[in-house]
Amino acid sequence: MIDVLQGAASGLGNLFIWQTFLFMMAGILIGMFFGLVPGLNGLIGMALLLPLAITMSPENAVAFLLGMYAVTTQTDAIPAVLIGVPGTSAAQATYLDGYPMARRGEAGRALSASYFASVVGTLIAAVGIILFLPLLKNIVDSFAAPENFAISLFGLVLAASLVGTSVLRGLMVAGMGLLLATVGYADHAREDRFTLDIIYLQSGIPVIPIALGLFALPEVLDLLLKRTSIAGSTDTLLRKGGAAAGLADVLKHRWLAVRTAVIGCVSGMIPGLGGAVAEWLCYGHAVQSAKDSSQFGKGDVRGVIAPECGVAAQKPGALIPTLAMGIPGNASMAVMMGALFIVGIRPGPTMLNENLPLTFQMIWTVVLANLIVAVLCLWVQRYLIRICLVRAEIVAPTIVCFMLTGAMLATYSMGDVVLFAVFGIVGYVFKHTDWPRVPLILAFVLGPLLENNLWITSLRYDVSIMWERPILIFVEIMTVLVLANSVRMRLRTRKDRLQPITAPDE
Amino acid sequence: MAIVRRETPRSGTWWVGIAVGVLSALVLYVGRDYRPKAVQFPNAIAITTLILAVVHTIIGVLRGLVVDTEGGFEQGEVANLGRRRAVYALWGLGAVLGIWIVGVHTALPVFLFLVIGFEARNWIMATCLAIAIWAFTYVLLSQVLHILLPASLLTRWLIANGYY
Repeated sequence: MIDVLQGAASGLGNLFIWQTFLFMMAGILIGMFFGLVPGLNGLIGMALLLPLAITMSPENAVAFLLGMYAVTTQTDAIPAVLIGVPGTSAAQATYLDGYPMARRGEAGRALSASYFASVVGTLIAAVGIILFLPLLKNIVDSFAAPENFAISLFGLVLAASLVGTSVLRGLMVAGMGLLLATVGYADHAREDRFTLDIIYLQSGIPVIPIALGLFALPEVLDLLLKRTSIAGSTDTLLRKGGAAAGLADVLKHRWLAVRTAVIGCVSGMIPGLGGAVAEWLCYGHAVQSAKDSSQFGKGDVRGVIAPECGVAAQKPGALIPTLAMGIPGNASMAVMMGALFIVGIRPGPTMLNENLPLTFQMIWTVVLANLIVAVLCLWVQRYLIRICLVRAEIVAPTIVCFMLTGAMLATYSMGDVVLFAVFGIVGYVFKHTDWPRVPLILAFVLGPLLENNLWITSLRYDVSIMWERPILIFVEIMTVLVLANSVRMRLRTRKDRLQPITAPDE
Repeated sequence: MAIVRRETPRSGTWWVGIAVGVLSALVLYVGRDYRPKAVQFPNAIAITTLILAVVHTIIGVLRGLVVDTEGGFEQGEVANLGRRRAVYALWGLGAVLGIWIVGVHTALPVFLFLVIGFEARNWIMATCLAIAIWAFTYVLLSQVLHILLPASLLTRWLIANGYY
């Protein structure tokens, strides 16, 4: 334990060497930009900065790369909240409550709650890792393909059953998302599936055009049709839009923040789960644990705090399997591992003994970067939230241009534009016919993970593992309970709010 | 506050359910030629989704579907809704065709200039934003970050004929 504390202190000290600190700041500023622009994300940033990072010392390289990577999910909340454009799949849950808050004139409150939740999330994750590293390692070691499948399915069921009016429609849309995810070359079967002989589809459907089309285009079109600004009036925006309100919200729901930080951190430690699952597990927990959950999806600040806290805590967590086991938790971590190899660091079990200060420097970089970005964003948000007041005829076409560019960054192909337009129409129809859009995108992201883990499970285990492995049994029970509880909650809410007359479709 | 209402069968919500069912059936049909390994997972999902779609359709016919009106417009909130939807769809189609024919660097600034100019009647703002989007796509993405955006039909034709 003393070694761990010494390593943590030494890692923190390394960050304040002026050169390392400057590289981290450079990374943070680049990361802010990559988070703000829909379509760009931490992975693209990592890939672009890699050639530069490998020329640096290991300490500077990790500060530079992780400084950039750590803040992208913090600033991607800004377009999700302000203009209803979740640039990454990890920002979907934040968009669900953040954008309605912006439309109510509470953009500032939603944004500052998201920044503070991120800071709290990373801080709790970092402290948790320092204190419980040996215990956490044991939990992570007990996760194999069956557990990964079960936890991914649990995340999907949460999203499908918590969003929208009907659980049935949520599950159908999730099914549609899983089917879309099967398009392209299947590694395990060595065969193209559902590509219709279109070359563009052979490498699968990219997620960015789908996410932008499904979520952002319908909002922009409705803005144009209504010819209003995003927020109603200046009064409400400036009155309710304060950093203090967001901080007060996080403090008021501090135990929710702690619980979701733990969920996010542990999710991050499980290789392959990624930010989207962590975010939905946390959002689902917030809804399930709330006494009054009727405002979720309509602008409940807890719906912003929980996912932001979880996804922020997931990042320090994701460093543990990458560094301690040599298994990258996600694609960005795989690039990070590549960078470490090139600068002479070999991630793996020896990392926690031989390079403990560097390991902790990486965790502290994530924490410090989140803290610095929170301060920077609070400073600039007073200007950013004014986007909510710009006339729709000016702001909407500008957003469309950024979305088109963002969509094209997926595979740099014209197919991305077509896909964006097609899913824009699908999203618009879904929005106006009360079909939930979130389960589709989450199922699409989780589809390959679910299929691969199911494939490995069916090859390596027999059916008895379903009642033999304790973690698996726990997740199975939780999945059934969540589904049953969602149906019960939906029926109760519907009874209270159902209008007795039959109205024609608009 | 949005109202939850019970919709008649053959409403938009009901038809989307049918479409999801048809998509699932199509997956089962197209997948019949693939190896078992390749279709186990999609078939399992497609069959489940198809069953759910059938249940959704039957509920719609027997009891009507429960729909939240939050996503839609209030009665009379938007005048000439159909016509304006068509106008914006045409703008969108123009942008996509423009990108395909002349490329991103030209099509997006022109699209932005024309839409803001005609819709907002603010030509100064239209010019400023068109320059900004050109700077973003051409200067930042292409020249600074060296991101290769898709080549247009015109560029490919110019290259093929030795003009570029």
